[in-house]
Amino acid sequence: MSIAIEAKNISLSYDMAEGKSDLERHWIFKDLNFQIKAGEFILLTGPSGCGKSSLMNIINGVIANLKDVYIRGDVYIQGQQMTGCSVQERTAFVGSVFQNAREQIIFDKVRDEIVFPMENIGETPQKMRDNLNTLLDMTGLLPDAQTASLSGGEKQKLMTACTLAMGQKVLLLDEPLANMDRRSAKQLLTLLKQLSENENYTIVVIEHRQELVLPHADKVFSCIQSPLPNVNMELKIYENKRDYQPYVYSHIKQKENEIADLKETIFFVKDIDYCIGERFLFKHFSWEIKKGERWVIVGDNGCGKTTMLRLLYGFEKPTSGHIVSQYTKIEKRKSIGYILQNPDYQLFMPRVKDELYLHSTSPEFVEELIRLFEFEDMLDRHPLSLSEGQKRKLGVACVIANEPSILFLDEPTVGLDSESIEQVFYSLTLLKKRTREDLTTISVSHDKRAIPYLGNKILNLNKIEV
Amino acid sequence: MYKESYSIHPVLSLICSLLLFITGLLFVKEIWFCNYLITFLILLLIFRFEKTILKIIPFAIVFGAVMPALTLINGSLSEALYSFYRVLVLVMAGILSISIKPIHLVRALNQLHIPRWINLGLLIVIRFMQIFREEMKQIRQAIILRGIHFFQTPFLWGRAFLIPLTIRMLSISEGLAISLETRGFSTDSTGSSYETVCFQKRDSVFLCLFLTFLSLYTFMFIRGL
Repeated sequence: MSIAIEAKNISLSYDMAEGKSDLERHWIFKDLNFQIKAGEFILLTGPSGCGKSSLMNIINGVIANLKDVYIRGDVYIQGQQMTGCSVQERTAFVGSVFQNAREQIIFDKVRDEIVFPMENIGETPQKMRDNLNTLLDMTGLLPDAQTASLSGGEKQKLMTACTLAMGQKVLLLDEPLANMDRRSAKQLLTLLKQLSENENYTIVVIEHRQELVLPHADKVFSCIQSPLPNVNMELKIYENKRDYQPYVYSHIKQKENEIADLKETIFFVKDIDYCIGERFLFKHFSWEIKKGERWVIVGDNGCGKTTMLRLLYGFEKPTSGHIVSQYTKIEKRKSIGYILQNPDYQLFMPRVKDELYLHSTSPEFVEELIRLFEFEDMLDRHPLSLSEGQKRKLGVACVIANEPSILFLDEPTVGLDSESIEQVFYSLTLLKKRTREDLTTISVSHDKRAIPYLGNKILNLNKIEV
Repeated sequence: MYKESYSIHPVLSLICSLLLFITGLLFVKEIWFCNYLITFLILLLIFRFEKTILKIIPFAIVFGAVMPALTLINGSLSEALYSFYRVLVLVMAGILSISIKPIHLVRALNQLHIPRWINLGLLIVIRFMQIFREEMKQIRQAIILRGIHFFQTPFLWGRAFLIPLTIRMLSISEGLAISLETRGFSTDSTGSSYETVCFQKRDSVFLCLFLTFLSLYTFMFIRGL
């Protein structure tokens, strides 16, 4: 079996200061060596912010060409040395699917987005049409759908389809399942496995939803804490995936509220219709939410989970029907905490501690959250200098610090490692205690691991059944 | 094949839009200016631009009221009227240009061997404006969710608006750049086109009528009729 990817002594540091010795410099990773054979399917895993995406971006050339970093060592793809090659030259060998699909979309229509990379590499119109049809079948996307109206998961599918359209034999995928429903995730992984087994594609998947990827993976590359004080992580390679032990949650089960039925209704969704263009997301839909209940909204990508949260909050209005709430608009804004998928929108203060104490009701509770989320060493840092995972945790902590009595959580586990997810669950338990068991939560999640911890009532929007 | 039944060839639309704008500004003080506007409005209606016309009416009303009002502060009534006419010229030119589908323009310019970096640059600028609008909406909603009110804490509101907006714009620019490069886009490659944007019969008819009317009014303008 030939070698598809080879890394020789690669080191990465964001510390650009001149004249520092290796011992003085802080490294994300140092002198990594590994080989990935053609046709192998690799799961690359590790805690949030450890440098997994950076490793991927060294292979595809994004870091060396588009970012200011100190980088050393050589990468070979299919035997070709990549040092000094541009990103565009590397795309002949390696295809990449990145996080934040929304930021990468250029065109209005799905068809044009998928066709664009094929146009760039000069494919014939007939070949483009054939590939397009295959990829549309695979993803279930409609060619004339507007990209702006796609859900987060559908956008992720679209960007994966764009990469597959180029047909490189080495594929790097950074959290491709982050916003995907379970069925789509399984479909994509099955396709990737087929490509690796039948057509000798080399697949590297960075993913926190390990339970989905592990059955398909041949090997696991796990990023672990380096024993060296000035190095962030090192790579532990499990040649046999059975030797790898995924993180197991401890049992933070929330106490069920058995008297919820006797409590007052806080939202009553009364026979609503909601449509985007000519497509109905909800038709004659009714739902009652009582104080203290913990709901989880599940369903396929694009079925309207986030839209339902937005309807309840009042950011969207139903096409017909009513949503009755016991709260006025002002009371609603005071009582509801809303954790967004992307924390970048909610963080703006100069330091992490300013962000946490802004509008907080109890300094003791904030201190408890700081200890829980391990923010002690970063209180004076700018929130936007944190890693993606840390920003997400900070976003959750800021909302919880305000002690809302109703909490909306939109995909709270996306992009978080298992330990961080457990911290989020525990923060919900703390909040529940603070609100004397009256906390009502409505969560949206695709993450099967998280659903039992997020709620005890499920609204499945695929079947519109409660 | 280019199959949008009610559109004009994108390059033709772009050129006609520019011609309409330039000549409109020149003819604004002519006594037959209203006839000029009506002629081209009818032409656009014949070629089924009614949906775009309806879309642009709110813009025409707002700017058609604001611009003459501002002119009236220091100018005469006739100057305010000319200001109103100039807004109408902009609206007429806008009908043609906003009906262009960006991807069709890019493909048409590509066929004319215009460098891809110019075409795609144009496309990304158009797309960025759309993203900018969406981002502002998201940030305003996030501000509401953090319980910040403009009238209570205007400085904090400004901070909560500007910092995420700046960060998002930088992040999106970087995302788009990486997305283009990793999808094989290069300034020195010619690439290929999924669809051929053809010059159709209706484009020829539109061009003939457009040039005929434009020549007529230009002749009247030159002769001082």
